[in-house]
Formats: sequence, C-alpha cells, structure tokens
Amino acid sequence: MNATIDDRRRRLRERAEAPIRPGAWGVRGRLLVTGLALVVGWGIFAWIWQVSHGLVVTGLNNHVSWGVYLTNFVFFAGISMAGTLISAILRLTHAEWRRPITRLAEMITVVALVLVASMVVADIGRPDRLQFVLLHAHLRSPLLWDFLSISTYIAGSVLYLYLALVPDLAILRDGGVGGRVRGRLYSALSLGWRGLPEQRRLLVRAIGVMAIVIVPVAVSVHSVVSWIFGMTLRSGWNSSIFGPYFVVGAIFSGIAGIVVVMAIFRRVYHLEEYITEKHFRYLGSLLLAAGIMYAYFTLSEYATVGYKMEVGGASLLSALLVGRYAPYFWFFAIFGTIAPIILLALPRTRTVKWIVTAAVLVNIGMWLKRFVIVIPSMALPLMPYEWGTYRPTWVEWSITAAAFTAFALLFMVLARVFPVISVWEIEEGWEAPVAAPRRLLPIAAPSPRVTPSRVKEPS
Amino acid sequence: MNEQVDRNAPTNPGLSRRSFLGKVFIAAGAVTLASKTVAFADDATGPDDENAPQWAMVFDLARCDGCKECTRACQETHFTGDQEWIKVFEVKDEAGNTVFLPRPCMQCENAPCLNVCPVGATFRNENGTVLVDHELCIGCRFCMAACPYDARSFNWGEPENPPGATFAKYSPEFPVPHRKGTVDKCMFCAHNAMNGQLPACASACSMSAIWFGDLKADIATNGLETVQLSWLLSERNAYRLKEELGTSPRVWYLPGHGENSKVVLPQ
Amino acid sequence: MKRLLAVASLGFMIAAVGIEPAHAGDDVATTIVADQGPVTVNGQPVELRFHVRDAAGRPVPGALVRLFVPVEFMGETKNAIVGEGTTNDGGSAVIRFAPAQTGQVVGTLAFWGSTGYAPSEATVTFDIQKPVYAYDPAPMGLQAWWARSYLILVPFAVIWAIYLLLLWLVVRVRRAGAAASAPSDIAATS
Repeated sequence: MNATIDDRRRRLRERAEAPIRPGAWGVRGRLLVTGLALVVGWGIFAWIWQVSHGLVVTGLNNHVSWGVYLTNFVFFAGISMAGTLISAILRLTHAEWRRPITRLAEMITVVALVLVASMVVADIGRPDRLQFVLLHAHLRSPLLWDFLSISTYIAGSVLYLYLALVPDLAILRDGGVGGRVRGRLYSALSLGWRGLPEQRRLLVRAIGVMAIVIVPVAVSVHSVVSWIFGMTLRSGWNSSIFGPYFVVGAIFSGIAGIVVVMAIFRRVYHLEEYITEKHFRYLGSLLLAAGIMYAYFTLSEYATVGYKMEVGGASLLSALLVGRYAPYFWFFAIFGTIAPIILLALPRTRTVKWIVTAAVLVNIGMWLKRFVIVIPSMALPLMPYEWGTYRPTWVEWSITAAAFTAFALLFMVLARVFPVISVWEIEEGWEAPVAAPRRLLPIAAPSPRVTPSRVKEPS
Repeated sequence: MNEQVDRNAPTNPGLSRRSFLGKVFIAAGAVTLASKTVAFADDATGPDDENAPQWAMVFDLARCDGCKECTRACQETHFTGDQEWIKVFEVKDEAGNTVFLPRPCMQCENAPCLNVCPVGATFRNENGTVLVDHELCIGCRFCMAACPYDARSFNWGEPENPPGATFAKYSPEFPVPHRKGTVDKCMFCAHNAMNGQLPACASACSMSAIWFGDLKADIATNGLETVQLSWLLSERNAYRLKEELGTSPRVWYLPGHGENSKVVLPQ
Repeated sequence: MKRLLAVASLGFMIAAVGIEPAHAGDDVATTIVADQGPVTVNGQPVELRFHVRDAAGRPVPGALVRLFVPVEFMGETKNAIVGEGTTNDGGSAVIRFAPAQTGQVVGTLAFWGSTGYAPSEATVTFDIQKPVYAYDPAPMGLQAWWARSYLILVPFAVIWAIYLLLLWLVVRVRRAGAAASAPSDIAATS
C-alpha cells in the first residue's frame, strides 16, 4: 500500500518538476521561446513607435476613438475570471476535482491581468502621465474605479497564487530542484515551510479567507470594466444590464480560457494522469451553463432594444444584425456561442477534442463580441455626419499579437519556475478523501500524515 | 539643552504622549494633503463667486447661412490646425427644410465628460465653462466616448503649433500650445470672456447669428444688439440638443423656419 | 466691412417686415403713453400696458414697440431689449417684463416708427425689489447626502486591510517554521 502511495507521489512530483529541471525546454522549446520573444519584442517596438509618433499611427480617429486596444483590454479581463472561478469557487464548494487545475487557473489570472494593464498602457495617449491616476484620482470616474478594482484584483490574485504555492515551493526546495538561483528563490519564498500543524492551520485559514474575498473582487472587476461603457450615454452602451452581462461574459470566456490552457499544458507536459477527461467534461458542463447564461443575456439585451426600436438603439441594432457589423456579430452568435453550446450539450461530442474545440470557438467568438461592443457604438454618428470608420493599422495588430504571444510566453516562463499542478493539493486529496466537513470555511481537514518535506525520494 | 536631551529619553512616559500627538499631527497632515490631491469633486457645480457670469450661447438658425466663418475664426485664434471645435452641420429640420447647425462644446451643466475623467483634467471654472487642464490629461479619451455631442477632438499626433502657438503661455482658458496625446475642445473663449470680449466665433459671424450671454445676469449680445436672454429664448422658442439625455447644455438654438421646427439629428 | 453688411442686412430685414425708418418731416409725430406710472416688481413678472397715439390723439395700430433697459454686460453699459409688443387696432399693447436685476431701473419704450409715423420714446421707471428671474444651474449627479464618490474607497480599504492581515499570517507561518527548526535539527519524526 505504501509502495503504491509512494509510487504515485513520486510520479506526480516527477511530472510536476519536469518543466522546472534544467534542460527541460530542449531545442524545440528554446526555438519556440525565441520565436515568441521576437513577436513580443516586435510588439514592444510597435508601442515605442506609437509613443514617439503619437496615436496617429493607429487607425483611431475622432469618431472611433477606442478600438482594438480596448477590445483586448476587455477580452483579457474576461479571461482573468478563470482563476477565481476554478480556484476559489470550487474550493468553497469542496469540489475535489479542482485540485489538479487550480494552479493553472491562478496562473491564468495573474498573467491575464498583467496583459490587461499592458493594454491600458498601450491605449493611453500620455503614458508618461499614468501616475496621475494615483496622484490626481478623480473618484467619480469609472476608469478610476477600474484602476482600484484591477489593482486590488492583481494584488489578491498574486497573494492567492503565492499562498497556494508555498507548500509546493517547500517540496522544490527540499528536492533541490532547479539549480542554484531558483533554489534560493524557493528557499526564500517557501517561508520555512515544514508542514507543521501550526503552519498548516495558518495557511489553510489564509487560503480560505482569500478564496472568499477574491470572489467579490473579481465580480467588481468585471462590473467596473463594463461600466466604462455602461456609464456613458451612447446607444449600445447605455444599458443597465452591462454589469452582470460582462460578469457572465467573463465567466464564459474565463472557463473557455482555462480549458484551452489546460489542454495545451496537459499535452506538452504529459499531465494526462492528473488532468483527465473528467476535468474536461466537468469544465465543459460549466462552460455550457455559462454559455447558456451568456446567450440569454445577449438575447435580453438585443431583444429589448429590437422590440422597441427606439431612436437611440434602432440604427445601431440594424448595423449589428443586418448591416456592416453583421458578419462579426453572427460569427460570434453562431460559431462562438450556439455551436459550442451544441457541442457541449450533445453526449456524442463530450470528448476532450470537441470540448477543446468548443472552448477555442468560444474564445474567438468572445473577442469578436467585445469588438462588436466597443467599435459600432463609437462609429455610430452622434451628430449629422456619416458613420465613423476604423481600420486598425500594423501598430495595433502588432501590439495585439504581442499581447497574445506574451500570454503564452509568460506562461512558459512561469511553468519553468513554478509547478503547473498543485502537488500538495493533489496529495492532500489522496490522503483525506471525500468526507468534507460541513463548515463555511473551505479546505479539507489538515492531515498529520501529509508531510511533504519528509518524504525521501530517489532523484 | 540638556533637559531636552533628557526628555527625549525613550523611557520617559511623558514623551510617549507627545510622540503620539506628533504622529496624529503627521497623520492629519497626510490626510489633508491626500484630500488636496485626490479630487473628490462631488460638489462640482456652484461657482466660488456667487456673481460670476455663467456663460451661455444661442445660435439663431434663421440667420446661419453655413458659411463656416465661425469655424475658421476659432481655428485661427486657437491654432487648432485641422480640428474643428465648432462644427457646422447641414441638417433637415422637422418640416424638411435645410438648416445649418453650428455645434460648439455644449458646456453641459451635468457634463458626462467631467464625470468620467479619471484624473479630473476636465473641470468647471467659476463661469460654469468646462475646461481641460492639459497638464493633467492622460489621453485616455474616456471624455470623448462619453460626450453625446461629439464635441471633443484629440491630438493624435504632434500638433502643428505654429510660432504664435509655440510661444504662447499655456492656460486651460487658452489651451495653446497644444500637446500630443491630450484632448481639445471649445472653451467658449474663456480667455476672451475674462477680458469682456466675445468668443472668436461670435465676433466672426457675419450674420450676427451667434449670441453670447450670461445666464446669471440674463443678458446676451451678438455684437450688435443686446437682449434679455430669457426673453430671447422664450420669444423665439429656443431649444437645446438632446435635451432628453439630461446633460443640461448651455447652448440654445432658435428655430430656423417657424416656431416648432427643431432639427432632426440622426439615430 | 462685416458690420456694415450686418447692419445693411438688418435694415433689409426690417424693411422686409414692413417697418421702415421714418423720413423726418413726412410723418406724423407719435407719442407712447404708458398706462401706469413707476412699476414695482416684487418677484412676479409685470405687464406693462401702453398706447401709441399720434399727434391728434388717434391710436396707431401695428406699431412695434420695444422695451429697453440699461444693463451692465461684459464691462459695458448697454441698452438691452427685454420685451416687445405690437399695438392692436386700438393702439395699445402689452409687454411682459421679468427682470433679473434689482434696484431702480429706468426703462425706455421705443417705437421705431412705421409708414407715415415718426419714431418716439417714453421712459418707464421700475422699482425692482425682488427680481423674477433667478438662475439655477442643473445639479450634477444624484442629489443625496449619501451619494458621495469617496464611499467607493470603503470596500477596497476593507479588502486591502484583509490582504495585510493575510500577509501577517504569512509572517506567522514563517516564524513557526523558523521556531521549529531553530532549537533542534531536521527531526525525523513522522
């Protein structure tokens, strides 16, 4: 029995530590990282070009003054919901199946939020004055609420990721993984973790509190992002359901994001034993539920406008449904929402392959949906002139490509330093099975037998 | 001297109260400093000087012939280059007649642009005119998204700033020279109003179609005649644009053809 | 040049409406007679009745009369039009005046003259104790004592306080680890 447990544990740690070991990348890995870094570098060059010449190098103009940068901003904010949802809510509801994927989810949140901040910097006309948001804060502005909310969320996510990382860092420290530099990092960050009951008690409480606190923070983030649009008088934005609409949209695209990242990491780092088909199916069910909710919100938004065809919303709705923006809208509606819902609902297509396909479609659809939220309402003429036009230039596409590439690159770098699956939580799940205590505060009862740093393993 | 050194000994209990008070004063000072830098701006209306004129504009659409002299005068006075702070549109009114509609910044009393600026760069001066502090503006363009009248222009690239502009002394009332990455708009020529002069557009209008007035004193002039503002508005059935949005703009329009033919805006 | 054009166009418009500048000597002299003496204004608009009569005392119909009041505007004193009225067949008209200023004001009723009639003026004294018109700017945002924008800082302050508390827990975890390993070496207890 012990042999089996030790065997299982050894395999788990090997798998978790494999990406961290020196030489883990190999030739292909290094080529890939170099390629990604080049794309990111090109994006940074494009941004520097934009800062020196001004935003005139983009396709933005006085009518459509917000474009692809804001679309990316909302998109990445949506992706960042994944961490909270999986990690915190599933932890609070004692869903045991979350254990192998919490780390990935928390990492997605942190990386996505870094990109959210970078998209704001990319869009600002005077990046040299960003500190004014702190020094001359005007509290009536939704953008200020955004700053407050997102900085609180970043701090919370990093803290949450760190708290859940501590026991794993102790494992890495004790196993001497990663060489000198990283070894020192692990020693410093692991807080002298020895799995003592006192330490466990404190950490479990901290994680529990964080799990509760991070949920309203995440909801507030997406609400204030929506209110950047919802608190204006433009038709298409002047809607009272924007807060919940964006939160549900974030849940939808967040789950899709984690499915995609999960699939990639599972394949690349051979984690099939831990991230199983069950995880994809469960997340697929959550994605289905979120998709149905999002479809309902979208229907509610457009049906109420379309029924009345009030002066404010009529021409915008026509442009969206049958006019110049119809291709984007219908791609989102059919391929980005209805098709994934069908794929996730039918028993025949509830396989890993199809669920991942659905998630990819959802992500593409949601990017288009954010585009369709931002640009048409800006292009709609407010005074007697023609519809505005917007054609993104190479600068905007470069920065967008760099953002998505940076997402992958940051992940690769993070995976090199921290284990992408939560070893201690999985082991905890093995040791203290299903008898979940009926308490409000989460986390399984501490088990004195779990002493991660004590297990000697051949290495 | 020696006594003071003794008093500063950390074991003296009397010191702890003083150091506590000192900390309280420092904290109070910090809070006061913070409250000066953080603009709460909840009481944005209400001039400091109760008798400061509250500027408003009235456009007589019966007289406007669409010559755009107002636009040109504004561009020349403020070196705006291609930007049109007062734009003249050609529209149809309710009766189907063609009307020319000059649109400056509406200087709304419930200004959406003022609400959404994250750094408070858009502010209201004592005359109720909405100004932009270009030394604060971070170029987020939220005000442009929020303005229902599309009255703002952005300096997308390096602005032209001819010598007359480059060597001007900057103030929000006369926002010249322009800066890249900040937003510009009509400011009712606050620099002229301060000196008792009409805005550039009102002076330039050959049809005397632009009235500039003071809502507080209830007077308006177009350069030739002076009238009681409230009488002019009620006599000629003046209206404002997009009244239903609740922005309470300070720009009125006198109908072009007959009493009840307002312009029809798109959407 | 532009002013000349403006005045000319104004004159043209006046001519088009039908009131022509009078030709001295041709026209009958007229008088404007206000119905009442000094008018007191006490927060309510006043209606000023007056008659326009010619030299023979016959009523002058269709006479456009404007009420001017001197005002201080943009550093200059000007005569502002505050109301106008056209006489009926009986030669009388009413002008409604809702003043915005306070104090003793001497207004002028002015008739520009029309075909066959010479222009004339009359003064009217107003004693404005309480003005009618008072400007009230529209409020910005919800007017409630509790609708304060800085209240948004409260939930975030709570959350950051919780973060600090959690960091304190982290410190305690570290201390617990240090305390355990300080006295004895890595124990092989299990």
